[in-house]
Amino acid sequence: MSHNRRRFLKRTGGLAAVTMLAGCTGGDGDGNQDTTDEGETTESETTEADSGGDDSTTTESSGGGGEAINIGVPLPFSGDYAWVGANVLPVVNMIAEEINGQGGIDGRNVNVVQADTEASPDAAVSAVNRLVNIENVQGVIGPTSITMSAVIDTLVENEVPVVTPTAGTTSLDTRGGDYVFRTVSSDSLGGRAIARAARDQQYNSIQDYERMALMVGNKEVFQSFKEPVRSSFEEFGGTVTTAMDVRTGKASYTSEVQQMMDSDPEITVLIMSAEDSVKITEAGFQAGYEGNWFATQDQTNQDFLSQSENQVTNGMLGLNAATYQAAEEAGRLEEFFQRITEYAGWDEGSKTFATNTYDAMNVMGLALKQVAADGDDLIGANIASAIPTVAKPPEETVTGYTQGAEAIDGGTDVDYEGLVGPINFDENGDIVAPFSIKKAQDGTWTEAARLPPEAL
Amino acid sequence: MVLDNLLQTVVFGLIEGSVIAVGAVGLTLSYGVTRFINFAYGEFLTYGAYLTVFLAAGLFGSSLPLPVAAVVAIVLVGLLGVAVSRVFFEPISQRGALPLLITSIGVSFILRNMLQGWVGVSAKQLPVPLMRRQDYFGLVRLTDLELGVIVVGVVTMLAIHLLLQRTMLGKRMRATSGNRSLAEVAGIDTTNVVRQTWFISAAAGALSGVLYAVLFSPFRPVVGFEYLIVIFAATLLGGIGRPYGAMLGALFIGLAMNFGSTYLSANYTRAYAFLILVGVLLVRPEGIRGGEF
Repeated sequence: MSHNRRRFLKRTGGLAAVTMLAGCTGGDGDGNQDTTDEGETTESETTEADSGGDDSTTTESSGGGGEAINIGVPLPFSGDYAWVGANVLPVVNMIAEEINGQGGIDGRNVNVVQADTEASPDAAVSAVNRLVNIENVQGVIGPTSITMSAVIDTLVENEVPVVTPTAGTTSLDTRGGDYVFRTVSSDSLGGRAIARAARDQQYNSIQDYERMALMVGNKEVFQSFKEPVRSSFEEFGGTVTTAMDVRTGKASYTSEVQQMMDSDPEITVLIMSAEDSVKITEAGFQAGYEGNWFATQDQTNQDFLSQSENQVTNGMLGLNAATYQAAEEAGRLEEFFQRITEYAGWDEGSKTFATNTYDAMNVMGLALKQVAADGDDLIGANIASAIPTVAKPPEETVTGYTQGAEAIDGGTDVDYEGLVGPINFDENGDIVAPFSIKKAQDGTWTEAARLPPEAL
Repeated sequence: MVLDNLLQTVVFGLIEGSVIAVGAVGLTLSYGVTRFINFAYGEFLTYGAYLTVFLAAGLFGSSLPLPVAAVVAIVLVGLLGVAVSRVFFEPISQRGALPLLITSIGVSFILRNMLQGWVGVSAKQLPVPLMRRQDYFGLVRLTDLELGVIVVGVVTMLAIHLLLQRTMLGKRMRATSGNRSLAEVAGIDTTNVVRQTWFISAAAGALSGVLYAVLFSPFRPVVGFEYLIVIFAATLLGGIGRPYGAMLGALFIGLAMNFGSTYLSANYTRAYAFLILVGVLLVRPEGIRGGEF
């Protein structure tokens, strides 16, 4: 018996070891990313070496110089959210090259260091630790809402200025302004926009919806929207029939949809990933749901519609950041689209977060430039306090790094005006920008109405 | 209303139970004759679903009608099963269950990552029409596709039953399962029987994957591996190596998952299968159905 038991233990032990091994191999995805990370480090080292070379050239001409200024980009570069990193990094690199082409910051080149957060808080913590402690970054473009809470303390405690083009999370609403800024609207505003647009026919072109259900993914990035939508919709006189927390990534949402339908809403706000939303809307169709759907920025894109059938999505409403009219009319938007499509080899320039990133990196570059021009040390505290300054009216309006840098060199203070909005940071480091309400028809999104910040 | 909900939940349980049953029978058949748990089995589901998508979309020249694509995919995966067994499992078949089991985990990684490398991680869907559920007898609602899944499930069970009871191959399989050396002494070419079983097992896995893909789209390359735990639960509940037990276990797991989702919390659907799995291992490791094959 005891012999059998030993053999059993031996086997289970073996099994456990196998499982652990499997875990390691499972982590091999991570392992790969580690390698990529290392690859990136090497790359950045090479770039540093390169820029060292550049530096010596600069040294010859300007007599200044020193090691490169590292700007970290902690974003998901692998996994389901890899598209975020893919949309942001080329824009950051493009502006970094522009800065370096202008002679860098006080003769020092800007060097972009990417770090994969894998859209997971754990990976984000080690990615940001590496950026802060090993790469000694002077500024950060990123991260996303998914990982913001996990890393914000590290960044703020180490006085690393952050301009994120990607984190709308409401958890930043009261935490920004000193070191953390963003060039994307807060989800509080986005949630309010959804509530307003659903409530008023003039903003959705269908009807004044009175009864609303919410289906919210059980992750921070989705939960962040829930309270703003609910409280605003009630404030505007509507009734929230149910606000369900829904597990993400399930195979089927039949039970959840049934529960939603039992509460009899006229419209259901889907705060979920595009893939889960496809499953939910199709489950709704199968079950004979007759109300409408309202989607957030995550689904209001062509990708979502191409995964769904038109008979399911027709009439569906979606929220998007509106283009900033001033930038559009001046042709700056089109100019940027052309520039980035050429630079990155994209087929279209209007990718999600691309314009936000353009603004974030320009503000970061101008802040660095301003600190250098003032003769101050390029340390986090100085850069962070320069960030709102370079974007504050009524100084000379500039719309890009090169133009701004020339003005600063000429001794003028600047007010950066961006592609997503005028970019004036409030005391919490937030901006306001207009929203666009889209309506799906026959597989494309068309604009139903525009929602100016004043309407919120 | 209450009764409606109850009946509807039973129907949903039967639908998912059919998918699980096909998968569980395939897994348990291969265990019956090879005597090791094949962790790579989930990949047969995945390959079945993906091959059907690609064959239907015309990846290999002409695009096939969906049912034809499914059949071709199932046969291809069956052959893949035989190939996998010849390359990876036959050479070490004499070394006991543990090396085979570990190898199967490795094979699972190889197959999954090959597929990912080939098609990427983005989600895919079968080109099936989306339908509204129709009333049946004023009691339950289901789409034609869901009805089709149940029918395919039942027919497959019947076919496996006939195969085991009425055909020579079935008898050889049962003999090999019962006692391999004795079967050999009796003149059965057990190596051949094992290969044929691999074909049937992998094909059943592929069919299960196709049924899964019909019901639950979109899906990703990890779909089979993740669903494996549900199939394990059904297989173990029925007593591993026993096809009829696996069918019963599958129905039970399908019902449990849907009842749990409807009446407890929808957030834990697969956790109910886990719970049953743990419960079975603790209380009745031999499964609900005793006896042989």
